[in-house]
Amino acid sequence: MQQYLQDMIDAAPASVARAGRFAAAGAIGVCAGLFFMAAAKLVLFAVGVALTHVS
Amino acid sequence: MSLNKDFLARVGIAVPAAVLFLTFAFYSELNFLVVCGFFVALALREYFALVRRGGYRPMPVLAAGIAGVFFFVAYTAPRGDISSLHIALILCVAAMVLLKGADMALQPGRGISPAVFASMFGALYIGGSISCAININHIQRDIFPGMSLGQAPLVLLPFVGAWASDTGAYLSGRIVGRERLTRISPNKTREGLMGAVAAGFTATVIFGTSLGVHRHVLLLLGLILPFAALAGDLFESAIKRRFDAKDSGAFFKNHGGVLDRFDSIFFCAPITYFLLYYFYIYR
Repeated sequence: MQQYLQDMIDAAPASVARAGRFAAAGAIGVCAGLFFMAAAKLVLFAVGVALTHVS
Repeated sequence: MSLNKDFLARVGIAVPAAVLFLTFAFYSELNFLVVCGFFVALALREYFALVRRGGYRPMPVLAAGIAGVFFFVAYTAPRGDISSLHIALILCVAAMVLLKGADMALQPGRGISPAVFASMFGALYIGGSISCAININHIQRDIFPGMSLGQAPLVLLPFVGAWASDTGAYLSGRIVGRERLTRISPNKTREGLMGAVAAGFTATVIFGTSLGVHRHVLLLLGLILPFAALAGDLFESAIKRRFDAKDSGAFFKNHGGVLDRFDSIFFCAPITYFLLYYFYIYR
């Protein structure tokens, strides 16, 4: 049991770092999604203005 | 190139191109058909250039003919019966391509020629996929009659899902990516996949909600589209790897060809179309 715990403790930093990387990737992804949506809305607004002037 | 410069260069190309493309494409349904046809022609040209690198002699007329039939059926789909014929046609050609592929694999050197298979496959992969985008316009016209093209383009849903996933994958992969995802594309990481799922889900759900698409469809699309985008990307990478090419072309200069930029759309557009069809038409 003690060996098992020791193994877990030894392994912890790597797995914690891995979990942290994936959590960070998820957070970056959500921000990227929001950023993308903001950019898409701006582009659609510009297109709407352009189409209004064209037609 | 550093992350900032590379990312800004991508945004600097994407935003003006998107404004020009969308303004022209959404002016009318016919314009959208013309723009899609133009991109399919460019993509097929790049695909055939890749196939020729492998020593095969593809049949562009056959591929263009099949793609043209896809487009014709999609564009002329009558009101109320949006796409049964179109879906039947796509499934029929897909079955033929599968059968021909199996025939070719089981009887090498005999039976169907690789050139015919490559041509039919190109027509299905490129023409069939993009014709689905045309029919998404029909779903918008028939199911959301209050919306007009240009104001709330439903057809942008697969584009938003795919490109948001690509953006999320790129950013998270560049910032925290460590573990390689697959041998097909060495630059892809598992952290990038996580970022792609998060970004694709967020953008698809927000964009779809603003269009009034049902939340069950959006949850499903939000979960499926990032994986479809990745599968499309890996599939195109596998084709390029098969023919020893780094980029499919140079239409976007340093950013590759049309196939490189739209690879994820080839998978996302049919999936979005089939799901919308199932939820709004078939049921």
